[in-house]
Amino acid sequence: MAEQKGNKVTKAAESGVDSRLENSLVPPVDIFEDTDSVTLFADLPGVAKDNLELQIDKDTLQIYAQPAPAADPNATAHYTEFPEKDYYRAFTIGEEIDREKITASMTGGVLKLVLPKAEKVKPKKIDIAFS
Amino acid sequence: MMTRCFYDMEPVFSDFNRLRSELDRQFDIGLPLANIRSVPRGTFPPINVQEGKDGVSIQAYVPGVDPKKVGVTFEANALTIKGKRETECAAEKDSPAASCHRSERFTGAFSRIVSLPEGLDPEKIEAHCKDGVMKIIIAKMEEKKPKQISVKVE
Repeated sequence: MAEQKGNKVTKAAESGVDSRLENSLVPPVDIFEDTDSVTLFADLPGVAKDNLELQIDKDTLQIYAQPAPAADPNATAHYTEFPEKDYYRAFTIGEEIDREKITASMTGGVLKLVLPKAEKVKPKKIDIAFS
Repeated sequence: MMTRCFYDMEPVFSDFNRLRSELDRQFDIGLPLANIRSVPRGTFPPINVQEGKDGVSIQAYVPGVDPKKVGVTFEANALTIKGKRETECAAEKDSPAASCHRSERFTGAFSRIVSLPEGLDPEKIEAHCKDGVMKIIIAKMEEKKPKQISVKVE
């Protein structure tokens, strides 16, 4: 059985699909944009700052997080509405995002990512010279 | 059982399985649920309950909610969790320069009532909140705990 499982992972890696994709939760996000930046909020309850992994590879932004186990392991579960699994979600980001200036912060289980726009795509005000 | 059999038939169904899991993931956005008999989609906050020997442990997943503004009450074996969640995206919507691309996170007032087993002690409730997970532990009354009876040898 273990062998088969390992096989699956290699297969996923070969085909370019991240093995983390399987058996993970998709965190809900809010994304809004203003003139200077794009801001992303993701709900990651149970995740401490150290268990969060953000990765930017070319045009893909990957969010991977492991929540700390919250359920009492010695007790029997009555309801489980929220399964304790890892979180994973990936986004495609465009050329207009300045990758060097991306900032991330984590408060109360919510991840805030600020993706500033590159100077060249920001709207410019043109001064009109009177002559 | 059937699905299990097909699932193991690699590699014939591997592409199909990948498509299926991809579709499942798409529908899971917003609130991932344990199974189809669970609460309706969009219920906030999702709650897990476990019962042990000494008491009941409840976890409410409330990311981005100020724990001080969550009201937790316990009455007649029912636990009520009430509060309001204000997300920044909803606040930003009013400004003319900002545009919202995705709004999947719950926003607004919430209230959930969970019925719990009998015999819990209303005096022994503890609640903690860490990283957006509120853990509530309610101890069982002493007389309701399982008792060990020692057998005397005559």
